[in-house]
Amino acid sequence: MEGFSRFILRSLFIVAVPVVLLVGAYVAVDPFKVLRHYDTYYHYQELDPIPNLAMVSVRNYEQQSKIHNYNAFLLGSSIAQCLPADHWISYLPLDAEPYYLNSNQSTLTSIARRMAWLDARGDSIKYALIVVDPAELNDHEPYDPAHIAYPEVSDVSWLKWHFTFIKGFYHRDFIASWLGTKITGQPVNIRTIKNLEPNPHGYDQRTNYMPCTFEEIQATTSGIGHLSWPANNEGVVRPPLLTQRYSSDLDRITDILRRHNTDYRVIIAPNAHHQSFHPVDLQLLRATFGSRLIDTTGPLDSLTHDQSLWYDPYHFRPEIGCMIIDMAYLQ
Amino acid sequence: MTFNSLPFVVFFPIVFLLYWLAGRTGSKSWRLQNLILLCASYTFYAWWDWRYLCLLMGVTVTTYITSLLAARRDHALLWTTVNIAICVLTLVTFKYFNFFSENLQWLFSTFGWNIDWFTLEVLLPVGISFYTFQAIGYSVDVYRREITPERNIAHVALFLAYFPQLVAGPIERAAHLMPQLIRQRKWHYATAVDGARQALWGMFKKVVIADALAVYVDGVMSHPSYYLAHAPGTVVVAMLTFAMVIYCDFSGYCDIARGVSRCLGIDLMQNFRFPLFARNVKQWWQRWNVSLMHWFRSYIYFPLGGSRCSRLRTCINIMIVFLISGLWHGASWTFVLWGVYWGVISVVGRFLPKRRLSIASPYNGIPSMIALSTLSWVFFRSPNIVDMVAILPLSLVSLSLLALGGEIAVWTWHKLNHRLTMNLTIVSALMAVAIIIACTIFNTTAAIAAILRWLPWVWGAVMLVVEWRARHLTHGLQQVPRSAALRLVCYMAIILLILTSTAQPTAFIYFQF
Repeated sequence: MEGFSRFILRSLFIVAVPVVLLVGAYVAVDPFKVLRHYDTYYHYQELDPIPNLAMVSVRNYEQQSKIHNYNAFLLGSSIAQCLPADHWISYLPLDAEPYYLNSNQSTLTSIARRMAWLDARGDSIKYALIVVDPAELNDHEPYDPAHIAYPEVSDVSWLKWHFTFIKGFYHRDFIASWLGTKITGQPVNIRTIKNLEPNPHGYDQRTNYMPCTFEEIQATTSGIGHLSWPANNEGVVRPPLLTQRYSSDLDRITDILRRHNTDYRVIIAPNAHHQSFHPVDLQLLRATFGSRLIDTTGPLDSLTHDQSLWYDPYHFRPEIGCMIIDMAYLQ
Repeated sequence: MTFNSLPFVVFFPIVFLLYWLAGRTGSKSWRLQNLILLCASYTFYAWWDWRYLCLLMGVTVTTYITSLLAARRDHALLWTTVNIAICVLTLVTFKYFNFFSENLQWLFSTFGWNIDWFTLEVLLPVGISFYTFQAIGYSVDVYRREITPERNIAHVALFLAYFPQLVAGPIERAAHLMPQLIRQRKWHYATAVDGARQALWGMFKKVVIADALAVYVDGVMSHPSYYLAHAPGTVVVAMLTFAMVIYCDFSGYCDIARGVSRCLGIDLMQNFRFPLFARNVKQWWQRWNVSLMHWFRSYIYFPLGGSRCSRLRTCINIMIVFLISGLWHGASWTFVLWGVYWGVISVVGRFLPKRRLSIASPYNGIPSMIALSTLSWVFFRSPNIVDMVAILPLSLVSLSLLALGGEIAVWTWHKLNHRLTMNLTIVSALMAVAIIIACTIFNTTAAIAAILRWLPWVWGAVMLVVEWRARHLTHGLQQVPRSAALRLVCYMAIILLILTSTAQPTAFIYFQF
């Protein structure tokens, strides 16, 4: 087998050099800010990808909890960012120290794990506002840079976490957008990549509240929110996934809430596509949370037709956010 | 598992190492190598859906038994027919049942008979069209005494399931592949290097060009009526792009399959012979999906009488072959019409005068063939017949004009002084580079974005130039720089491009057939 070892070694060398180059460039740049710890993850007007919300909320908490004794938490998906902080704080008692511990596309599993993580740290969960979203009932956990769960508060492995980001960086559309943005200093969006917009302003590191300025920018620059989406008046009833998949998470959440004697509200968020929980799931939620469950889908139904009140079919503007908080605390 | 997925990147080196380490075990080591290949092939297939492995095994068993029975001189025709029937029935059940069922239902309902037909809710098994055709070919070859049936079922199983060609061909003839499987394989450094090069070139065509351009085509073809109304030129560009996509996708797959197989010391037939440079219909079908056309010629066209019969009968034979070819590609009327289109074109091409104009360049005919083949992709890619009918007139007119312009350009290129045209090309390329640099300096965001968006088309053009230069060889990367350092840089640059062009791995288009 003359030359067999030479073939193996040469092939390895030819493949290894580009791989090392690419990994090296990724490590040097750290485009998603996942490799190193940063004082803050948002710099106004910085043209970087929006960092993973799941990671930012946890890492920022670890930093800030050394200064502030947090005891009030807003848990849920990106929709939680649509609930204005100042309005929520106005309903909280004076001893409350609020924090937005949310993540993108957060499922009940993610909420349960975050609460378990707080519990394991020995932090008090005196007040809680939990946002559940029928659109976030999925068969699979999301695996992309914007939505992958943070390993520290999930069962995602660190290997999978880092591999997702490096793969995301070298996705053909992303790397083209990123390079274009870095060369020109302006957002260059190739095809589906739309997250290389200027970072949002108004971020409050203490509460981790970030107003939906990203959605606002997108709405104004790329037309989302000004373009209409097809009306769906008949609505979509999701399969009973909550009962099938998430009932154990629901048990974990209620157990932690009970042990911490938490003053909490659970909100069912509205959406303009009229997606709703399956009646079986709704019944389970009612049986679990009783009067603390606030179903906003019915009362806010009329507002779902006014598209000026929405950034997209799932993210609403502050007007609706304030109404939801009012409903939760005045009911 | 697909060639462009991460599991394959892990799977193949393991198989490669085990295979060649097993090759050191003695004079009968090829048996162990075959066992490794068979296990690897079944793993490769089961990765997609293990349940359909039973179907592949079932076809293997029936092919093995009926071939042995057919080899005894009594009832040879009967046993061959039985295996053909089993293979065709398998194919019809999984691929065509719903198509026939729905069409019969429609036919009866037009006569006022509303019969309650049923359809099957089954997934189309990947590669079924390829391995059933290969099994039929094996049976017929045994019946014709062109080969002796293999007595070891493992060898038949490997012949049908050999992973590089299992899911999208080439459809191998037993006379070519089987002898390679039942003899000692020797390691050849130069063959392995060229195989690796071919696989790399195939990956470049699939990942860097086909996958990226497919996004554009899918975007346009998901709303063809909208684009026809608002930007009709876009549809024509999409069809030209699709011609590039399907070529890079399928020939890329075949390059990977052949390259991977050559690394294992097994030579698969060349399924693509640079069809984009064909000058007439006959050449096109001698260069595009060669193994499928060989199969049709050997098992359908020749048994029907081929061209050794009357003109009318020859035309009918050609039409039958292309009709079946269309249906083979998919259970849909658009594919049937694609077959009819090529049948008509082939018949017309066959009886056109063969004499070339004395003033014509040797390359005249290439633009027309590109236009003709692109027009055929309108049938192939249209989501349904309504959209196809809407797209067809515009495509016909635009592609005819493009073909005419192309023929004039080719003729001019040939007649003009080559040195002058070469200088003009170099000046144009330098100007393009200067424009890009100027755009970068002046920070023209839109220009940079446009360049980045058009990159896959640029790589497509590079691929065409490389393949044109290598058109007398077997694959694009066979013509490499003589300098070892430059070669190394070329390979690494291609790998860099592949790694930075990844997206969600997409299946090869021909997997669906």
